[in-house]
Amino acid sequence: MTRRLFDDVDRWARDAPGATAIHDTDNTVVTYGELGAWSNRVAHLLIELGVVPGDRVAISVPKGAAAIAAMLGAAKAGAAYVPIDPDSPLARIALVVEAAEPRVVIADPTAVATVMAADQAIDEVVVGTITQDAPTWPRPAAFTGADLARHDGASRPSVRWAADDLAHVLFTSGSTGVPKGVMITNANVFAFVDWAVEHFGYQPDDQLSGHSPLHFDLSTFDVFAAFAAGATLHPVPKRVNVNPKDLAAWIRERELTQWFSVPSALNHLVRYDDVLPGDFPSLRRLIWCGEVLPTPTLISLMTALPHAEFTNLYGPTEATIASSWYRVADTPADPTESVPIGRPCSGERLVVLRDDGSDADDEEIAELYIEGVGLSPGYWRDDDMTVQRFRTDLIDGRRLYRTGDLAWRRADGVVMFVGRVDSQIKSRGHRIELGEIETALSTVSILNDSAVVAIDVDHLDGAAICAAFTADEPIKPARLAKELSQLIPRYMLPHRWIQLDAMPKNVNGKIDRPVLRTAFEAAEEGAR
Amino acid sequence: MMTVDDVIDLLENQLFVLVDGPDDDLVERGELDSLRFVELLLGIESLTGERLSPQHLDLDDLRTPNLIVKAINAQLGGEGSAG
Repeated sequence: MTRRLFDDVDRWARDAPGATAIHDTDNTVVTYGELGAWSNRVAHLLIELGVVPGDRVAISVPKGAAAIAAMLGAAKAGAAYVPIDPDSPLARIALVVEAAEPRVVIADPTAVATVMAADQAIDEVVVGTITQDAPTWPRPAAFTGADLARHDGASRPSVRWAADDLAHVLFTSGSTGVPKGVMITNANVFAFVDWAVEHFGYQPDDQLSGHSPLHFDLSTFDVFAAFAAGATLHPVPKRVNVNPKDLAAWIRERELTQWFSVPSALNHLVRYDDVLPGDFPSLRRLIWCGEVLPTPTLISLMTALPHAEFTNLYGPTEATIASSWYRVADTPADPTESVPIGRPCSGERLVVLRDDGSDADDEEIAELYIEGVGLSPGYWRDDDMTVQRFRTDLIDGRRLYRTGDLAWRRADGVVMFVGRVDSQIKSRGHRIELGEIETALSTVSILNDSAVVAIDVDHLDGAAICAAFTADEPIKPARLAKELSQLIPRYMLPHRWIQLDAMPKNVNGKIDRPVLRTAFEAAEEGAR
Repeated sequence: MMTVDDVIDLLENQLFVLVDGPDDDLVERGELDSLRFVELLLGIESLTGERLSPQHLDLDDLRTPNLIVKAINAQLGGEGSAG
């Protein structure tokens, strides 16, 4: 029977209440017993606030034990949680809250000022905090840590549930400028988690990194695989994450047995030789996902860390965490060799299809589709988009998610990634629709015209986001970046800017993006 | 030797971070994330022609343009002038 997000925590709270569930960013330790009780209190509080099964509870709390207790508490109240990046600009938080229509927002005492100052949509939502008693907010908190303390942590409320209930709704970049929500069920989460626990052989003594932000679906692997195994999760403190030297020291100090992140964190560690030969002696496995890990980085890490296993995971949010895996057994000899995205995880299928829906031959590049237990029920309140991306009209009514990724299959069945078919890009593991940046840029009134393209740049992690604009007077790009940062997350801010006299147009009068890309590539070449 | 103007120019025109004077705290404002940190170091390396050793740089050494100049010049064997 499918479990719910909290079942593993409650099992360990009963069987090993003193075992450490979370070694938090502030160095405090939360046991399974404490986490079970904490989340029970959150659930009772949410129910008192009117949350009923099927509701959403938005959580805008920095990564750590409190945020995770809130997630588990929402699940125990029968709600789906909606994680919101507390560092996101106000305008974007408002868009997500407006779209998700949560009954309650659990927010961080510092970040919430932003949530509350938001527009009308948020005015009607119950906003409070579970970590402080008297936060200084623009309007009174609907609930605080004192309200939480009134509730009983000994037992969780009894609520009805079904296996296809939503576990969470994750909002990703949307091409029209509005973030789109991906609905994920309990069954989706545990299809991957249970495969991973068995595949990687997790044990209660495992010490797992929590690098991905909680609004990013990779974090659900960190959190729920740790809890499934009764292991300890170590959320990575934000400050540690800036300087690779600090990150390496932190991995050593925490004696992590698993590191899982997007490739950029690994690139930064390797770039300035922060990983020493034989470093991280406790590390059993190093796993990456989200984009391509440059093979030279992999070679450096495999050479320095011969005691660890190296695995690439692949899969979009819509297919829940990851759908395929490839373990790199031997250090690649050739730095230009690509690492495969590999073979499907249990219950999944990777299908490479031509435009007409027929199966591509081995070694033929075509679009990759995913079928199986990880597939989301679809996009939050967007049936049109769901029908477009989750196809049932291609192969005998089978449900296939159209990834937008180009791939080819080797004769041995292993799948290789090639690139994207559309304007979605990956930058430091973040999935970004250029249209979202373009929409934000188009609202900057001092610009006449603007466009955003992406190019590959060696030293950046993933694509470089490049913005071109025209205006009546010379404008400092830093000023535009500041304005944009009020609308979109920092990771979406352009890395390159160019002011033009006129925007290049093609014969149809549309912005000529290939010409823009060439201009940025030439500028990049000239800067070397 | 780097000057504080070099650092502000680098921050504003290559990293696109508006700087509010030589004592503007970039860490406090959340401007220095992992990518910007690496880009800042790469920019300084390209400006000075020297390879830096971030193993000897703490985040607190790089909070403001003045501190950056001091830390980098100290590492490059300069006097550690703040500008």
